[in-house]
Amino acid sequence: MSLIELKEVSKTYSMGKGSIEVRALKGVDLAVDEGEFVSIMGQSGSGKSTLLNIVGCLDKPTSGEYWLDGCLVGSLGSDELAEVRNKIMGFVFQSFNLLPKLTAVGNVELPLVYAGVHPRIRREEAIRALDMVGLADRASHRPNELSGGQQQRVAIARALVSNPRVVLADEPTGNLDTKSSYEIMDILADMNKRGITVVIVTHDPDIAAHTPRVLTFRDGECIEDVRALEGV
Amino acid sequence: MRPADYLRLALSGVTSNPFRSILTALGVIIGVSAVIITVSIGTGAKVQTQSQIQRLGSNLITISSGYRSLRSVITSDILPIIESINTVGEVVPQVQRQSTVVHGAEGLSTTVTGTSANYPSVRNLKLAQGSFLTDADIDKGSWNCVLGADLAEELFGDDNPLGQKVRLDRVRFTVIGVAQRQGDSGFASSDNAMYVPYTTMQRRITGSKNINTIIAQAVDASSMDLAYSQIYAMLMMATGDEDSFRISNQADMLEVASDVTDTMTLLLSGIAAVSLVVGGIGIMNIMLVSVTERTREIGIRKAIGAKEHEILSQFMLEAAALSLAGGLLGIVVGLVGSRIVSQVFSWPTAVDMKSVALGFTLSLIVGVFFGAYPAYKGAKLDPIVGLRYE
Repeated sequence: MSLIELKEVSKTYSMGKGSIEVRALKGVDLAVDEGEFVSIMGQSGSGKSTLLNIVGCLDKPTSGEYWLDGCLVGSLGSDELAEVRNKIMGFVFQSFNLLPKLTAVGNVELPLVYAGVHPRIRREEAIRALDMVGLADRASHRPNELSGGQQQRVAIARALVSNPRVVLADEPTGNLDTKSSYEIMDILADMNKRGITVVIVTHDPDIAAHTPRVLTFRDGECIEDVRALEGV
Repeated sequence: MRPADYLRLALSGVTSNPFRSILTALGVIIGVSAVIITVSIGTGAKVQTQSQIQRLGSNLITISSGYRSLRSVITSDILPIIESINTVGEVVPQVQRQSTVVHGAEGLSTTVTGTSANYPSVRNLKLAQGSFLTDADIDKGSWNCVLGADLAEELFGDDNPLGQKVRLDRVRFTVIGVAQRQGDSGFASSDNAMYVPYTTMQRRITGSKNINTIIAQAVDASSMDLAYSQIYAMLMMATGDEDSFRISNQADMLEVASDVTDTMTLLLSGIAAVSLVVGGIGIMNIMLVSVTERTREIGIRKAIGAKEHEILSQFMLEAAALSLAGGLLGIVVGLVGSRIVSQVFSWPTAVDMKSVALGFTLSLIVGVFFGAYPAYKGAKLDPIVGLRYE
């Protein structure tokens, strides 16, 4: 059984006064196994971000089933979904989404705050996560004192700190220069090697080329699912 | 989330924008302090009025002429009737008139009271110098008088007033006594009064047998009710018209006075409580702004695993912390304020601990009540909407 399994998942948005309906996803079937490194490619509006939000339990499908580790996500309440996001998922966003008032280490330990971890332990865990992305020396800096690449590494540390099984990254390199982008992809690949399932959304084929499996979306449907040969 | 983390989050919400927090809490500060100050003024006034009424003498029944009587039935003729009642001890007539008392070039407006020799014992009047009018003065209608402390001082300054002459209308009186200073009684200052025999007053000044008020003192506290009804019965027999006289006892006066101050206190503290509600609306307003401003923050927190009740608690606690801080500051301002009121306006104030507790409780309720809707709005926010918010 796959870790992530979507069956006939559709998502329809009502625009305006409900007269216009936008079908963001049209019956998508998808299976991602534990330990995979997948990128989802597509133009803007292809439904790839919607898919990622559904996988991350931030959004619910209009129809279809989403099974996460053998559990039907649609049957979970909002507290259980929060629990899933806290314990199983880690998120990395295009715009970093760090809290500006908190320091780097304060941002990184936030998931552990909601997990109810003791302050001393969560501080240690957060420093360790920052160390993994090479920013232990910037722990007490605020986001506005860090470069874009550094902010994204803080965000990755935040995604890593609660030892998630899945990390979801929505255009993680979208706001970064090429050098920083490659650094971020290296860190994500490194996380994948430690056994974390990583799914990234991108419109950049160069970034997608870093991952062994590439799904291509167009108009709410998956039109291509390519796996690189072993060892390539 | 751990309890300490909830507290830390609420406090950081309050302290991250201190000026805004103070402005927001100001409504609650004003409301709570206004409740405390108004109640303290009311309580002080009540205590003072009661002590003033007590000071006028004890077990007193006041008889005066009715509102609707054309000809007063309360005259010297009534006195022996009331004196004959067995539950009545002393009876004091008061014939009063506003007049000008003159000594040398000095003329002062004063309330002249024509009364009897037992006035000091019934009305708790003590003499500083000389003696009060005697029964002999009353019987022969002598031209002796006793002055209130202020009046004596204004007329004679440092000179000894005893034996001096003062002029009232065309009559010259000899000062035989000066009363001790009593302080403002709230009704009429007895320190500015002049006492003469009521017989002299009736013959020489008012020219009638009318008496403004008769004070009857019951023999003891337990016979007050009996004395009251006996006086009523006697007056009904004598006049046959219950509208031609009025009788009131001290208990009634106390009750009326405390009713009046209670009503005033309730009214004023009601107005103060309204300002507390206005303060609450201020908190709600700023919390709504705060939730909107932090839409993205809420989205991020939810994305990394914050539950609805954790977001709800964050904002509720922030609102409660704001209004509690306002409440505590309000109590301090209220306590200081009521001291200032009593010092600056020389009004007696007595801080009622119940009003402090009330103000504190109200501020907490206001915070929770008006914080609830904004917090609920934040808690129910869709994480996707929050994350997309610019």
